[in-house]
Amino acid sequence: MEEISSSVAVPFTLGVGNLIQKESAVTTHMEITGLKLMANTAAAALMLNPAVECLKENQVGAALVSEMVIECESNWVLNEGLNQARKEDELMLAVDFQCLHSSSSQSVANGKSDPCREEAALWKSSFSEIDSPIIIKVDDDVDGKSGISKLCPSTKLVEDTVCFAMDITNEDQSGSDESDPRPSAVLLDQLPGENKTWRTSNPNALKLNSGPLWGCSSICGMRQEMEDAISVRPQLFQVSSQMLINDHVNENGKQSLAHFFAVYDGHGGLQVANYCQERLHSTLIEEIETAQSSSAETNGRDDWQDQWKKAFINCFQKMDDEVGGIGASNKGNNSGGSESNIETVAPETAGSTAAVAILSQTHIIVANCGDSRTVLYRGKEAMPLSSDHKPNREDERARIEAAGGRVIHWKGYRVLGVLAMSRSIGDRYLKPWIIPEPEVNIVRREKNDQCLILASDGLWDVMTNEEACEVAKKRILLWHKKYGDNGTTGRSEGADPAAQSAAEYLTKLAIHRGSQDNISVIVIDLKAQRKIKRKP
Amino acid sequence: MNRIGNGGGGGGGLSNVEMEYIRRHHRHEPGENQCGSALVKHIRAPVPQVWSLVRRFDQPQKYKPFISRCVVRGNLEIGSLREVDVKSGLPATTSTERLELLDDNEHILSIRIIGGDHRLRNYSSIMSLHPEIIDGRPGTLVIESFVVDVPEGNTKDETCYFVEALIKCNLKSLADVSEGLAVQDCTEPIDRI
Repeated sequence: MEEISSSVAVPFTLGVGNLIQKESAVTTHMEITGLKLMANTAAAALMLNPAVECLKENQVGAALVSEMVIECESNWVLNEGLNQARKEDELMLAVDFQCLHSSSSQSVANGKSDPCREEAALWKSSFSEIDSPIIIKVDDDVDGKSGISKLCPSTKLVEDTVCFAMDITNEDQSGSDESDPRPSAVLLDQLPGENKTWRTSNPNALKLNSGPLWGCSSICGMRQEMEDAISVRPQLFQVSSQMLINDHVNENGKQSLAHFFAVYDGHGGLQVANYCQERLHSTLIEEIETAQSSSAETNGRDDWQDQWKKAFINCFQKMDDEVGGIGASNKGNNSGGSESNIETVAPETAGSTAAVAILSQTHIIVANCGDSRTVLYRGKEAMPLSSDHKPNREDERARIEAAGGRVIHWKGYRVLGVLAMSRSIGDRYLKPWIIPEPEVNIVRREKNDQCLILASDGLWDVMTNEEACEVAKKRILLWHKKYGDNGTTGRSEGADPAAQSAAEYLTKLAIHRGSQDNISVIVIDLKAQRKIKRKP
Repeated sequence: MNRIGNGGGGGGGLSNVEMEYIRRHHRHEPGENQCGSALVKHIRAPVPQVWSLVRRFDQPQKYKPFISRCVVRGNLEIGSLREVDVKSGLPATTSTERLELLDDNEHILSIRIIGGDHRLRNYSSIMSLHPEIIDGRPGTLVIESFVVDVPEGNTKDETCYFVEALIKCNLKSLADVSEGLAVQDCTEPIDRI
């Protein structure tokens, strides 16, 4: 591994040098038509036969080839639209993989690193402007976490991934389709010499009450079965001001829309996750209304945050009772005192995580049960809004052992050596050690909030919070840079295409990183307006 | 046999009858770094009902909740192998198991785990079914015993605890399914000779 690590590390140094060269090449002026033709030829040659790269480099120089590749990318945008986005993703992933693989192969074959340096440097520099930092992290993590042989099936899986149907419903939605990003002539501005600077502005971000800018992606991945479920319910309900501030004076306070997002990662079967997908949000509404009524009765003495916690705790407990057939069993059981499985929603060995986020104008309210996770990208900081319920978390272990259970390290820390999380909805056979009680976190929104990510551990097991947030932000900005001028005019009621591309890229990246589980991701862009200005 | 537990959840120890059954039908020869145990479950269903589930070496998923699929190689006979797929959430995805004994007269099933991506090495188990009367009705006493290597990094106590947790779940499910079948059979007249 040292040799591989060494050979991988070297190209980054050259990459930096190449960046300098590339920058100087910006001032070079070339005829548009000629440039395109040369770019296509060079790019095609590079992809078909990496060996040709040396010859081409000798003729036109590394920097120029890099510029051609970028131009070729731009050309794809003009010609292929959405299809281009997918190809670009795969190309970027393939480049990362191919570079590492090539470095490793050549290093092993002849013991020399010179041949792969040039190739690695070239490929790196061609994407440096957009994702260089992320690419470096990808390589570092791949190198550290998995061997080369594991990468091959991972790469193949990028094509084999199956999209699972989303439960995406907006009761107010008139059935409009997700808006397609349309390339425009403005993209021709992506030429050498362009001063590519832009900024985002959101003067009225916190005042807008429009639909959320969300996207989601859910794939089966390495598992044989898909047991994840995602629930997105924009504008699910109205929240009274008393549920968001300690305002007891104004009885007729304003109401604001709240949006519901959830990721359920099932195990031992998909029954519990599917049940939560169908029912949890409705049950939550009932509990919130109960809390609001209770607040009115007690003359608003209850703290509003405690009301949210009660509502979520009651909601999750109800879900747990229902999947366990607690309600049904009260209807009379004729099997001689033995508990009947016929009336339960799910087998007693099926369970699910639940990562829920409520997005309102002023607050984000998160409830978590299990080891899925919700992360907020605030400014430049990735803030976890939930804490994973792992059996070896000190307080969780103490609770389990106090209840007479044990945490055993058996392929990771597990309750009774069996289940790798300490809380879940369902899993009746592991009660009382497994509980469905969520931890609730309430944060006030701020102007520098970038995005919110909810995901199952299929993502978090192979990616840090920081990496996921940075990737999501970059993909959102990248989308706006390419399609923003045309897309901002019409706001779709479905998924936001920029957030959608971020969610999809995250799932692909997780597969590439070697994730061994179902992967489900929701990305919510918290910047209400993204105006990207270009200065010619 | 270094420990004996009641799989049915009762607090007491085993009866003399149960101890005798174990002595007679559950002989294991645990190695130096092995542990083992025996669990007992009382099921309110007659032996034929319970045995019809237990003896299905080719379809353990009928009563074992952790199994999603099972494929048997070749004919169903002593020495047959089955490939078991395990449901998600558990520390394993597959298990390869060999049929060691299937006695339809004495109602005894014995299997040995010979492969898979779990940590249970040299696992061997015996299940025996014995008729008994529960609340005046025919019931079944199920005894399951096992012996297994203690994996590196774990203690004997931990290993037994883990295996027992899985067996308890299997036995409870066996009871639920058997008693479900037994209820369906109660459609016949009670006064039938």
